[in-house]
Amino acid sequence: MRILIRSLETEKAGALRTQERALESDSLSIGRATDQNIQINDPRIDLQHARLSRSGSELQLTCTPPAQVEINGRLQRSAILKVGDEISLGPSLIKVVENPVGYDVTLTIERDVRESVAVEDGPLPKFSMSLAEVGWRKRPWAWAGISVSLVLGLVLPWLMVGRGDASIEWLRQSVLPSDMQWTSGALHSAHGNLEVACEACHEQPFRRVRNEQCLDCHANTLHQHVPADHPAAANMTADRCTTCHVEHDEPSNLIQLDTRICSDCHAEPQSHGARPKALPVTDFVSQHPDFQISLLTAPDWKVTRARLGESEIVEKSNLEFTHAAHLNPKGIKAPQGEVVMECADCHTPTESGTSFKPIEMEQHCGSCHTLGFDPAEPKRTVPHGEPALVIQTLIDHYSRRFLGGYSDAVAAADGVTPPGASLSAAARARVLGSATQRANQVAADIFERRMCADCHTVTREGTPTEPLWSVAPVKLTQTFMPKARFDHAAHATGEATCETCHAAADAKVASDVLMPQIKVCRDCHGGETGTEGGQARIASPCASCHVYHDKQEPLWIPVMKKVIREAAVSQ
Amino acid sequence: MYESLLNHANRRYLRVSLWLCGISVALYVWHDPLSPPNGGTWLGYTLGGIGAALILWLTALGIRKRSYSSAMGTLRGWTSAHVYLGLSLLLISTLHSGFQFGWNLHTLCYALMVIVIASGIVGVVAYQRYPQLMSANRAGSKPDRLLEEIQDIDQRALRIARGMPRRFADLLRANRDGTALGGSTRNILAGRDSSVLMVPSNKGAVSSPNSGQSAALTWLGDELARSTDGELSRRIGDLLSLLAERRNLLRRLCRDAQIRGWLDIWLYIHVPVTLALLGTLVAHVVSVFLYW
Repeated sequence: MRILIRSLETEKAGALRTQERALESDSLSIGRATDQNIQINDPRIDLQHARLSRSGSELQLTCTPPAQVEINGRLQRSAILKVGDEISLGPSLIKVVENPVGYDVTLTIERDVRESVAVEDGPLPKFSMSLAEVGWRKRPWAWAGISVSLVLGLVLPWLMVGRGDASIEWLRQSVLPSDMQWTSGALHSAHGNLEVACEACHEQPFRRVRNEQCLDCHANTLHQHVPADHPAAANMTADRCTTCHVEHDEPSNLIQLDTRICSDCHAEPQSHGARPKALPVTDFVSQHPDFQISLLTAPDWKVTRARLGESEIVEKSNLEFTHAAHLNPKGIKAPQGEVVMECADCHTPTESGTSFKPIEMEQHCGSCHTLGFDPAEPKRTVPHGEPALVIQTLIDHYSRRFLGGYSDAVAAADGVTPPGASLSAAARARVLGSATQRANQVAADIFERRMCADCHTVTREGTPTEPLWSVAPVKLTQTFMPKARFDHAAHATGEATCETCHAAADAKVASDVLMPQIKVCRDCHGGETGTEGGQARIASPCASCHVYHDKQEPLWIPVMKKVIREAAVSQ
Repeated sequence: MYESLLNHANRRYLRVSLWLCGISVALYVWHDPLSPPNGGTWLGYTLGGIGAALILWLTALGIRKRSYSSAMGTLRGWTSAHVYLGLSLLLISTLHSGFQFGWNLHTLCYALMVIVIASGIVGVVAYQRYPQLMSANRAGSKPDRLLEEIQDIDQRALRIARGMPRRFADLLRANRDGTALGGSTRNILAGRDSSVLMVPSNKGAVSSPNSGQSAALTWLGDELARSTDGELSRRIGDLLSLLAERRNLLRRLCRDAQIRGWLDIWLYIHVPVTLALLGTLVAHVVSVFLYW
């Protein structure tokens, strides 16, 4: 169709200026975009607002939703137009007018006069629609943040610290944060009372904690880390306490149990001045020599050191004893009949439970190994003592007996003098002689064949008429491993029995040493973390067993009582 | 062609950041100090130094962004590095702490840093999503123009109401006067239209919530239902169309303010908390050596 568009503009003077434009097209586009046939540059108009097109013989106006136009005062989205219709689009008024010759559609466009008459025009309402308009600010808060944090976190407490105890105490009592906010973690519970007294260790600002602060409290309770004769002793004194003892950590590491503080030197002992026989040690499971034990050895009872597993170790105690027979599950013959014995029958723990009381013959053996020798007087015993005293006891006993001191059924068979009879001097001498003979016989019997010979090494001396015996003295080793801490009570759980570590049931002779080798301990005790070798065992760093901060039971390490250190140090 | 700052220079700073994090983690895992890992081991001091330097450089973005004539890198490059290295700071500080936290100044410093980084992440996410939504919502018209269009609709509606009973004009005026947008943080961020309408009734005017022109449209709908006059009905229909258009405009305005609010709010946290962090950081470093 042929379209004529006539634009009308009112000039300032009031005259009307006309511009005409003709185009040939099947549709006419109206909108804000620059490619529209009729461009109306007003934000209320859509980019492609409406389209005029031929619908049969009629002219149709269609708006692109959601746009609408006002046609003859009515808002519509589409309509059939006829001559005389007025379309109001934003500031423009488009009228459909009579066609001049040669045109199918003629439109006039002018400014909508009604637009210039504002109806109740008021100022644009002002809504607070941004965060800044409702009061959000960055700068004041930023200044506040940095000021408050510096003042409360640093300046104020620092000032109070510098002014002395009274000032910092005042600040600590107040609601304001004090220097206590500077802690980087809790202290070990042993230092609990120092939580509110930072100055106990942090004496001077910007100065590291010095040994003097530790020794303020620990001067008397602190012991040498190692004995004075230890090769590393000289190096130890140069270090700062805080090299190993660090506070304010979680978990607390105040008590330093790391294996490296030992293995740093002990992994290669010789390069740190150790003797050639010192073996390398790094970890209980992966590299630790087998245990050495201290043995008292007859006849001079010097303490000798021997390493378990290395050679055949015998304890020369001069005692004849067999654990195997005593622990026979079927029982052992005792005066009262068959008795099934157990370890506790002879081995009594000390009060602390850490070790065992010494074996005493009278207390532990005497209930079965009685020292009676005369069936006629079973309660009469020889003393467990010097052989000469034993012989004398026998002589005294039989002398009195033969001289008629006792009256009983057996006395007559002995051919002894009945009681009450009087003897001549010669007869008396003869009777005494017989008594002595009898005593010697009994003595030989008990020294050599039963009683003493059961347990002791006996040598016959003297003469046939005046026999004498000597018994080798017996000394049992009381502490086999004095360099380590071992707590028997701690190991007396339901699971472990004496047999778990000590192969007593198989020990046939007293010279058998029943101390367990390291492999027995490794059944339960792992290395530093306990997880070596993929198995979960008890974590056992060096300090679990070896004494550090030595001497007189340091408070913080459970210690086995009666650690006889001096006795075991050889050379 | 638009390229996100996250992809700047072929994601160069993502790679830098990943390398930094990887090396830090490797060192942390390998390091086996006598004490539990903490800020005071040699690795702790190293990571702390790196972390502090990072914090200062990250804060310096605020200076670089205002140095218009600076040739020290591009602002886009700085911002891309700021995002990625800021994220790596989270890991580096955590390793520096040895995972030891407590109620003290040092953990406060860490917490403030976490707030800054978290608000920064909110900002990055916001800027990935919201600008497109905002452009689509505006459809070429800025908020001021939308307000002008609303005013235009108010005028046209009043013109139509000239030929109608008085109560219609009164209602339209009440509708215009009761328009309320924004006004509070909650309203802005929720995109809430808190307009009210004084609806005339036989008991006097009653204030009704008019969010999205709901009260006004309902009132007009009731009038239309009651109307027996064809011409009046037509005009009421026109008013309904106009108010529907007004509703769309109001909705677009609210949505625009809402998106703008979410685009802005993280920075109101990010910047002030960064300054508080700086103060706390200084206190943290000084106090560590004060009580060495």
